[in-house]
Amino acid sequence: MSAHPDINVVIDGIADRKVPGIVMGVGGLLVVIGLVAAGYGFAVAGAAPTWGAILVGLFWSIGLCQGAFMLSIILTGTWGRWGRPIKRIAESFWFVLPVLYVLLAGFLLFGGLGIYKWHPTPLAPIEHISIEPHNVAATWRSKPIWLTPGFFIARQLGGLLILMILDFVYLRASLGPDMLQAQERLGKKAPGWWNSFIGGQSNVKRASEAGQAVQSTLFWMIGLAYALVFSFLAFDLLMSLEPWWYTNMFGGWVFVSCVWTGFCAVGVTSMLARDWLNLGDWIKPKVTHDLGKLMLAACMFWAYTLFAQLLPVWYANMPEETQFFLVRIGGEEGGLTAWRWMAQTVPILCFVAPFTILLSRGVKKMRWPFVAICSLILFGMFMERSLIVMPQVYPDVSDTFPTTHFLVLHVGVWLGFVGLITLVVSNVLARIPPLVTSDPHLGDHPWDQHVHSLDAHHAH
Amino acid sequence: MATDVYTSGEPNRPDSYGAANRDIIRVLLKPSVAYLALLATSISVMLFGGWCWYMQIRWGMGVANITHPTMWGVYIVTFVFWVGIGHAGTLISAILFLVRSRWRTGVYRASEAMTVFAVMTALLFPVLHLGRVWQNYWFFPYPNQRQLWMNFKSPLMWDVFAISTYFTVSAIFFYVGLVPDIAIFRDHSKGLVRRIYGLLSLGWRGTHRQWHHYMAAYGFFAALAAPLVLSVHSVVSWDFAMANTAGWHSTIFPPYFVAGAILSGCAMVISLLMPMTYAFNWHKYVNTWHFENLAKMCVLTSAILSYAYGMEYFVGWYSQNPYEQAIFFWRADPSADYGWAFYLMVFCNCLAPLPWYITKVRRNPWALFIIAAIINVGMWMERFNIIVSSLAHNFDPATWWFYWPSWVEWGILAGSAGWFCTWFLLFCKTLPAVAITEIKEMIPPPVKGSLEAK
Repeated sequence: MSAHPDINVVIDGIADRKVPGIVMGVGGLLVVIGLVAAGYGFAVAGAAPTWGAILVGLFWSIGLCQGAFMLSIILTGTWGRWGRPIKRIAESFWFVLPVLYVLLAGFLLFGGLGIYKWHPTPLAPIEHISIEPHNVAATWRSKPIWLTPGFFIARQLGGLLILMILDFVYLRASLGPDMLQAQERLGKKAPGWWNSFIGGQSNVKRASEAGQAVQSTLFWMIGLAYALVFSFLAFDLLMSLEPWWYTNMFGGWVFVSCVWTGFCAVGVTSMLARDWLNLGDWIKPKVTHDLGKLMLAACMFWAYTLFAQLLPVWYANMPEETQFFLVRIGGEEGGLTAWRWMAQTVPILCFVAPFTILLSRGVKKMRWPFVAICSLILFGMFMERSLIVMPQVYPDVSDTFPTTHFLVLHVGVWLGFVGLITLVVSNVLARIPPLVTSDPHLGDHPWDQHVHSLDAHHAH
Repeated sequence: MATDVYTSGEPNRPDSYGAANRDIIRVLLKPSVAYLALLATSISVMLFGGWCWYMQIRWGMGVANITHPTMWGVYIVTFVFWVGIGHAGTLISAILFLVRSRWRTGVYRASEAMTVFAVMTALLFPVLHLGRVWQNYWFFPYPNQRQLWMNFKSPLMWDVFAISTYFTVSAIFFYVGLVPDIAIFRDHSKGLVRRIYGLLSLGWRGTHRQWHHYMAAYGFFAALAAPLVLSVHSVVSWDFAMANTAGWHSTIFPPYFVAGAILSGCAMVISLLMPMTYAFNWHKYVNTWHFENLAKMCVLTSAILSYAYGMEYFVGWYSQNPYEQAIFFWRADPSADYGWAFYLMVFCNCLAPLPWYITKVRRNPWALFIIAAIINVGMWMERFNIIVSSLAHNFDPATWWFYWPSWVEWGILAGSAGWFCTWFLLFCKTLPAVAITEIKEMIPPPVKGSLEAK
């Protein structure tokens, strides 16, 4: 087994770590920009576009943070050793979720529902049409049941709360043993609030074993809960903006793209913060190389599932399915031109560019090119979410894209969420062990030294 | 501490390169009575299927119960089933190779063989289904002067290309992997057998240059085969999803079909390898560790499948589209024609794999074998449930009817299993079903003059 770098270097760095001023400054500035943009939106653009911009920012951020956390779940579930050095960075994104949860509650309770066509007037049940013996009386009138404010709000907040609680139990099991180990070394320099995570444990080895057991037990539950909760968040928050349109791939497509944004966020953070966190000896190029490969796979899966939705809709050419795409893509049959450039930009930002660039081995290993491609994908996903939401909140737009509102309001609000995530994650990483120091799977496995000829080639 | 796959299920390794050779080559010895009995049974069933096909050619498609509106019956169900079975081999050999999963080593060769034979079996069914077998060349885009040209807009045509590409790449990938191992067989045999293995091993000598090219080619084929694993069953799913038929026109079909194919393929690998392991005493090469990982793959894909079933029903309900609701709830109506098929499918594919969440069950050979067999039944039922129920209960109530396969169709279904098993049994006895060279990579390299070198 190869010799591990010294974990004490990482632990010692925790004691006096502070968030760099530039990070606090930029993060704070972005939050201010977001707030100003929202103020501009309510004052100038109108309530619907502003709530739409907030929805895009919220969904993008919630997806990103939970998606980043899912990297830790994936590593646990697959016994993946390659990504252990970035496991804690992935977990640190959980701390943004409670803040976003409060913002989501605010969105749902204080006016955000106004952008949904089914609110405040519920959708009418379909009119009687003669399709006997497909008896319309026997048809389940699902919209008046599913798309009602009380049930809608309860679903979003309840589902996300359950997921966050499961995440937290997992996080505590992962973080506690590392905090105990760091506490033993740092003594009184260790923050007192760590004890709430350590929970009375005194032996690092036993705490680590117990923590691993909890994580192994929880990973599949969280995976299942994530798939379900995010599918329904996608159906409800995004798909129900156009309440008569439906595609059963939508939930899966969205939750996979959220994991993808999470990978990118972990990639950016790992590259930018590794020296600050004393992780230079751990986050080596081969780690980001593997993360980049995972991002490439997610990129292909995103495109695959998008194509899987587009192709049958195009082929069948049924109005109830095509109208959602025609509004965005444009076309001869009543399509709008306003959103066409976005519809053309999204596949470039989310598939063509990342796919082409991530094929390169070098890009995945070099700091700034990797940060650049991760940032490009993150922006691309913002554009993708905007493309879903914006045509619904600008119903009067037909040919002219609302450029000013997009740049000031939508991009501004999104930057606000970027700033919020930056502030929370950097402050959390400054205060917790940034590496899973007690994890028995940290470091290479002996078999990695003699597995396959290609592995030896890969290692060089 | 949580169970660690690296310490709990680590395979027993052979002591030396020589021992690995001897263990695998042992299959070439005189076959046992049990093997011969199995082979005879498979050939008999295959011949029965062939006779049923002859009956169909002799008397026409009337002997099969496929007619309006259920023009796709058991033949297409079984076609999709075998294509699905053919998924796991390339998944295990190519994708797990690319992600450096070590547990593939013991099982990938047999899985690859299974893939090739399963696709060979699947390819029979379009021929069988079309009735006039002598006109099957119409499938292919050959130059001619009769203005006959296939409809490239048809998903069925896409299928021809997707599956033939998949078969070609899988077969080449399978053969490339076999070359160094066939050379070992060649070196341990005599006479005509040696000449045949010599021909098949393409002059392999194990030189550095050959290994260099071999590894490059193997990696290349793995990278080429990996996307085909996704594409082939996605294209098969579009045979259905492109149609406006209620219950078929579904955007989730491609990943749902791929997950189902991997589930059925992995279950079939367990079903085939479990008896082989005991019959040939391969416990050093294929053991609990491999089966447990295959079971985990099944658990994951079963969860994806359950999710897809659930989403189909939820969105069918949410859509408030009466036709969507009608077909989905008719399928699930226990008193309806095919209600039993739906519940059998749910039981076999969603509920039966659940015990595999428990480590002890995953490590019990009987539990593995039985649950894998149940999954295989369930995956056939899934295709039956999708294909038959939507056609038998389409938009126009005047056309509704109850389809049930005739004895000819059942016979051909059984014959396809006989055909598949015959090929697989012959393979086990003539070619290395465990990858000797990759097994050796897990053994410490021998030092000149030491025991390991002998």
